[in-house]
Amino acid sequence: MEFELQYTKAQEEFRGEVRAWLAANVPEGITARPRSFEESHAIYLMRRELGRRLGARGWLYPSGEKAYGGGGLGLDQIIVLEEETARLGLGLPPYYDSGGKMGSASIRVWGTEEQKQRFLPPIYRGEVRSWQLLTEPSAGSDLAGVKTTAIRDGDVYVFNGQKIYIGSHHGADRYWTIAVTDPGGKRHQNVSWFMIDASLPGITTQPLYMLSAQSEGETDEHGHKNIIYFDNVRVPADCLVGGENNGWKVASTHLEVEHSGQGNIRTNPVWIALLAHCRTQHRDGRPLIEDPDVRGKLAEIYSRLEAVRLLSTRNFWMVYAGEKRSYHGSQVSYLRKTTNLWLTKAILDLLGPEALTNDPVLGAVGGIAEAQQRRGIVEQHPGGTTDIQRVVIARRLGVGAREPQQAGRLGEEGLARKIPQRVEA
Amino acid sequence: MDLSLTPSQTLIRDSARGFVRRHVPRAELVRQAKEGETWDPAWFGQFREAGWTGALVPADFGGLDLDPLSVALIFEELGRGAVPSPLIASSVIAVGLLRGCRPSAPRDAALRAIADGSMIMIPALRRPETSWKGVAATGTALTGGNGRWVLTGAKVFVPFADAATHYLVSVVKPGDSAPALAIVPAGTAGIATRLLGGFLQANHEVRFDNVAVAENALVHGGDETFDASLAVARVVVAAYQVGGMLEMLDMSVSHSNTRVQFGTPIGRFQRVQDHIIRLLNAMDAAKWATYEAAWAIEAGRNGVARSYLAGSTASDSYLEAANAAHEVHAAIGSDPRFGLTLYTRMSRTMYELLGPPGWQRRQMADALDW
Repeated sequence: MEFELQYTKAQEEFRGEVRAWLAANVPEGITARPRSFEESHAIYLMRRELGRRLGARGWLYPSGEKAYGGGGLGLDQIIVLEEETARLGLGLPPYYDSGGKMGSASIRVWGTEEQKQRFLPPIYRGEVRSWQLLTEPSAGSDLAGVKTTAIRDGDVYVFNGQKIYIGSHHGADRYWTIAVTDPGGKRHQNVSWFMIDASLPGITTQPLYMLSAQSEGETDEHGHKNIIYFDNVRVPADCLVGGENNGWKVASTHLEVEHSGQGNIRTNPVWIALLAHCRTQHRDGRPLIEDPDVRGKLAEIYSRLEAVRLLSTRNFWMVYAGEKRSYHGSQVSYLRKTTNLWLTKAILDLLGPEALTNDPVLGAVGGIAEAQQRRGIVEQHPGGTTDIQRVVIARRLGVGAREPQQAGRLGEEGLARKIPQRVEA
Repeated sequence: MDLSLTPSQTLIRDSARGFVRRHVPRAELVRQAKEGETWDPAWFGQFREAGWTGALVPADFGGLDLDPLSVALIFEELGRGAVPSPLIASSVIAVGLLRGCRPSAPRDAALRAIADGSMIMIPALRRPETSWKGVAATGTALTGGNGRWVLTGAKVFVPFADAATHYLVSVVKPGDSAPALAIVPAGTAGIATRLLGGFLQANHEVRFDNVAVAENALVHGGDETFDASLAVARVVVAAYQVGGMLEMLDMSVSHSNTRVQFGTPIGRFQRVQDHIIRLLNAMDAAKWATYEAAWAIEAGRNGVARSYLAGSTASDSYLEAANAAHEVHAAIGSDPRFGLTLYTRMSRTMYELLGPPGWQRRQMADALDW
């Protein structure tokens, strides 16, 4: 067993290439915290442009098959890309692309060859931004209870209904959504998934301002989400993915991604910023880090976050090594949610009321602490509440059931087989 | 032993409850929060008419001089309504500080003016880049001499500074380590305030730049420390927090009975029940610590120690209760239009109002002579 990443010479060469490319292509201010809609929009456009450039090199979705516009890269290079973009405070994609991430994963597993060729390249190349549309006013935790209908009419499906808590600022080009295709059918056997053009007639959007929003790089001030209405929207039938009324099986892939099944190897950015803050900011005439109470609390925070990081790293390895997974995705999702909520109080205890303000002078950690206070609460519900994660974990363990439930397929299993033998340390 | 309320306490509580029901619709609070309005002067006018501005002021100075539990019951109801008001800062905390000062003409006049509602006295205590070590440690050094003092420095996390007619500023005179408080009219030249944005209700930075302070604007601490004189304030603030928890409990029970998922009200799921029970336990722990502290102050049974217990428990509990309520409500709870976030924000805002819970617990240990 080896926990420390050992990089090959080829990886280090690739890192040099990536770092030089990012230095030349990542514009200044792309990770700034926007303070107005206009600033947010300008940053969003920067991020989309960066996405297109990354996409042209296959680095936006590096694990996506080359034939569909992805990078076709192995874990060795994906790790380097993850690390180098994280170093700059960016993710892959560098913008909120929930429908792209979960839609592409689902299409890889459940789409036809024709659909893969049609839907995946624009996502992988950064030409479109996609949102997932799952939750409805009466269907949150109970995803199978969605009421939006998609009724076949010749060569189209006619959509009617509404989705809530969707997306972020600045709109999307595609919607990845689930709807009822057989209103008289049995639960779990009456829903289907669609990748929809967001500009179709009959789709309207109403903004919704939440306590916080998770959209990376966009203004966090108002937690911009949306309600999306479908009023007799005619969706071409070839946008249905994974077979009519087969949506609950397709959902297994979608939810596995959403429930952190893929894992990651990133260090929590809030932790990095918090530690730097305590090293540089003074209280009572000395650096915060020298206060024994601060040191104790920081150590406690680090210990909790390390558990999350380790299990995320484990999931990352399991997916790419082709290891059989069960409860692992939901376990990380559950731990991340509960830890981030716990962290709100820990940071408040650590930093005091400075953690509650985004004031340019007094706001701790450049306002990151204040955003975490709100985000830690809001994070409890997207992608399944903590209660839902616990249900999934129990089912995967076989608790209260004859057979343990299987994890959803991700379509990336076994990528590690592409890793060249690591000979150099 | 008798844990029931007296008839007059019940009357006071019902009166406060009636005010909130009649005059503070949640939709109005949601609107105020959205528009960035911090407080409603019309509501404050009604508090004045009810005599609540002088609830803790001695009768000699025109106050009602109510017992701690009666005042706690008023603020429990205001907290239940998440009513934002400078009333706590002025008529509870500032009055607590002034009552801890030696009698003097400026002190007595201030108490009288707070009671009749003509003065809104906002304590300006905390200095930037300092940890909380009690009110006496917050003093900003005055310069000058011969009774003509000059105040320069910033005070941070000052609640409802925008409502102040006067500030009660913790200061230290040169060569005099004894803490003092300066009564400074809010309109004095050299004072600038800034609203602090974020997950915080009506907190400000107040900067004093070469502000002239006359000798007769200073009041001085008595034999007991300011922190001991704030025992009633801690109980009243805790009661306000308890009120918020009571409302979140009602909201959570109601939501769990009406929100249907998987074909059944979510309240039937044990996990949802668990969140509500967590909220309930947090609320009741704080509520009874608060009631007992109110009694202990009145009965002379180490009310200071009990007030620290109530204060720290209520601050911790309000956070815990808000977190539990959000788990019950999921996405709906994070939609500010629903109203739960009014309480969540208040739970964070009030967490350290009278010192961090950890500091309060250490004070409690000292007060218990451990």
